[in-house]
Amino acid sequence: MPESKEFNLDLDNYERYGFHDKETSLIKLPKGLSKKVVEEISAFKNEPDWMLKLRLKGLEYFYRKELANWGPDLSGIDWNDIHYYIKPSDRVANDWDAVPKEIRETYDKLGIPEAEKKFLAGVGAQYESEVVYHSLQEQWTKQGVIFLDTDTGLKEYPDLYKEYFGKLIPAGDNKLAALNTAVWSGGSFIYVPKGVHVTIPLQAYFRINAENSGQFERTLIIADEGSTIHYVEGCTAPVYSTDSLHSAVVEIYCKKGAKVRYTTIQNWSKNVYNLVTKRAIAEENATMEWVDCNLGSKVTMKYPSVYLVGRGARADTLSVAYSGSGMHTEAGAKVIHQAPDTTSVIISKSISRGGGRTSYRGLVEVAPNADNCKSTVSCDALLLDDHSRSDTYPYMNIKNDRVELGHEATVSKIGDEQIFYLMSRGISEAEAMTMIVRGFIEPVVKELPMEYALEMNRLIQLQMEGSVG
Amino acid sequence: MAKQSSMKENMKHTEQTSARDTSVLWTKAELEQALEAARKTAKPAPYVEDWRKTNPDLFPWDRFEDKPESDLREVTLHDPDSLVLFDWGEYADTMRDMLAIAGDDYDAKFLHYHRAKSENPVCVVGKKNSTPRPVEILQKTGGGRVGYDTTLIIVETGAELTVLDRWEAPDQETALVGRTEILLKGGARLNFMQEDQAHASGSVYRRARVRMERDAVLNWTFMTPGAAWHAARLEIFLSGTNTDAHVYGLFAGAGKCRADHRTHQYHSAPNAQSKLTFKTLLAGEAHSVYQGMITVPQQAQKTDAYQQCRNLMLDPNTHADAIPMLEIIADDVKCSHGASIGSLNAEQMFYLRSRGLNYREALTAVAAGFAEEIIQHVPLEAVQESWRELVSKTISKASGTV
Repeated sequence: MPESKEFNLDLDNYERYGFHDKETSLIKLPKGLSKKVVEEISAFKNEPDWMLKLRLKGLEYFYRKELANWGPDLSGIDWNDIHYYIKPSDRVANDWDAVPKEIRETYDKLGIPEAEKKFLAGVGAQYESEVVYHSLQEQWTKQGVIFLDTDTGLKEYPDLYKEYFGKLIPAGDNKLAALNTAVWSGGSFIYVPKGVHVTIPLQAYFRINAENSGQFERTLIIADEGSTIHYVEGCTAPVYSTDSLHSAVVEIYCKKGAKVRYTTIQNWSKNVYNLVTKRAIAEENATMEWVDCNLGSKVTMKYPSVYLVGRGARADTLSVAYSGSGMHTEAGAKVIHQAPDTTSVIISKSISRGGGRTSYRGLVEVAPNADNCKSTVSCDALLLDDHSRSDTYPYMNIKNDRVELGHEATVSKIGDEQIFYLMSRGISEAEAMTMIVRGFIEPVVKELPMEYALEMNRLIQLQMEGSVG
Repeated sequence: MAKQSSMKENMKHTEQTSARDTSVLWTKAELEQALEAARKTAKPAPYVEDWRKTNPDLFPWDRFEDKPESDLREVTLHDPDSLVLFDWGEYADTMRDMLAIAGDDYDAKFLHYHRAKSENPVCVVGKKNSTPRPVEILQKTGGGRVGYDTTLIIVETGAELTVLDRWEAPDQETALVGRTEILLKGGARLNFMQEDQAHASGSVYRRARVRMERDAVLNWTFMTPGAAWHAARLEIFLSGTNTDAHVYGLFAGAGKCRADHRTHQYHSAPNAQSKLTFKTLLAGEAHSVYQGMITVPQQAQKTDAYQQCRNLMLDPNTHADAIPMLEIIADDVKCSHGASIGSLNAEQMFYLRSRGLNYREALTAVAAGFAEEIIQHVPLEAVQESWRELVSKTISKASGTV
């Protein structure tokens, strides 16, 4: 264990991810949002007319809609003090050496190209508003798998976009989704053909580098009948004194019998508002899995949802949330059972310390026709000191009597007996605490790809330093 | 207003309340202010978060302006020595405090009207060294009007009291705005049973609060039979150390009825325990909304709090909403909650039927057993019996075709 007794995740994060590079962007739109900004973004991207119309509709909804009157405090966001579009490079490279030098250095520091070589089927990297690198291993390309950045996807597959884009999360869904619709840029587009099983994960890295900027990536995943896909995203940003905004929209279609897993390791710096709308639709016998790890950001509001619309569809959400000093992480899940014999499981684990606040806010809804549904929700929270906070707000709305639905939640500190037992076996108090916390989040960590599991365990260990005393 | 009786045994006090012209608690100016505030305050909008699940427009707001008429109140005292009844001289200030209107728009309009229109409250005071024999309060409201009943209970340091508080309105479309305010002083113990029985077409709004000081113990049971519109907000403030609150509630509804219960266990002192169980038995088109909250701020270390909501749906068109919430800051606590929603347990049904019960009998046994877990905590057998009857009425209306 390092000798530092102080809680030093911040320091560690600062060293590993907190560096920021000299900005060398090609285009940086002035701060603020207007019709002109939206039109300019669309013009830069050379988009079809219908997309511009959709963007403007999104802008209209953004002006018209109010922010939610519940949940974390968002009053710190100044909508007019944000760069809505920054273009760092003039094209998307698929060869690492072709990525501009400054950006390449950033990602080299984050260790992305090695990760690709070792574990991944494909990698995308987004820097500010645009995707700078995208590649997919040949064996998957041959089978017809498409993994592109969203802008290229829109150019090459306009028909798929017309059919699916903005259908699951319409422009007016909520204020933040409306904003994303208006100014979206970058993100991933994935299409997996019928029956293709992509056996190793696809991955995207998102990084905000400029101060006062917003990142509004837009991801669309279509898993055709009987296919499987695992998508992993990681997020980092440098530490600035003023706040940045990340407001993504993710739409996922799980066709009949398909299985999609979407894993997020969110480690934004503590000056990022992370306000994300994620939604999936699962058809007959399809499975949608959200594995959601929220370790950073100033404020997170994220409720990955699944609409179970086909008989036998299944939704699994595994969520880990950590809040340290000055953080409010509100991570939840939503499952809407709209068909018979559907199943859902939500497991949420949260850890609060140093005055941080974690909240679980979730919804389970069962429609009148959705007979024989099963749903289990369990939320466990650990409080590591006496001024941190944990909240649980589960909503259940059941309109069918042929259901089995259960919700359990516990909030506790680490048990003295557990510590005592481990210490009696010769383990130091600090190690014992770390072991217990690791055990606490184990059900989620074991679902992560190996490199991420290691990373999670390392982060947890860092967080636990200085917790004794 | 001194109406205390000198009778020593089983005194029954019946009072036909008059249309209100005087009040001991409030001055005329205060009453006028309350009426003005009531008219000025907007009624809650159906789209605000608090009322999203239960449309406030369905309450008969226009009838607040009806001319008040007299209501019937009966209070049966089995132990007159320990009680002050309708005679609150030394308690007037405490009572004014207890009936203060908090400035939140959730139910401010109800509460202002309540102050402006209600009779002088029934106030029961438990004094030390009394034999803990039950007090029964029955308030009735006549046909088609709005009743404004108020029950105040003060249990003095170290005293013990058992109170049954009922409101009844057998006539169609009668409404109620009821307030229950309870103060348990140091080491006081209270067994409190509560029942608001409206007609199936009636509307009820009930606000009930308990404040518990050091070492106080509360056992609170309540029953909600189905009404067209029933909203209740129950709050337990565990303000003293070592307090212990047990709350058991049951909603049994058949036909087109809806009930919206919200409970709040607010722990503001260390070492307190609160356990709350709320169950619903839903038949026909009954709709239950439950929102529960446990709040544990930093100073309330060693809190042990539990809250559960169990819903049994007996018919396909029933609807259950459950929102059990926790807000915890203190770290050395045990806090948990659970909620379940489901229909008859298939294994239990199978077992009973394999022993020779027909479907109907098995359904009745399982559903009655479900309710029994609440009813068993009622301290008076007569009340247990009457609640069992309400439960079996609901079960008999279930189609049993699940």
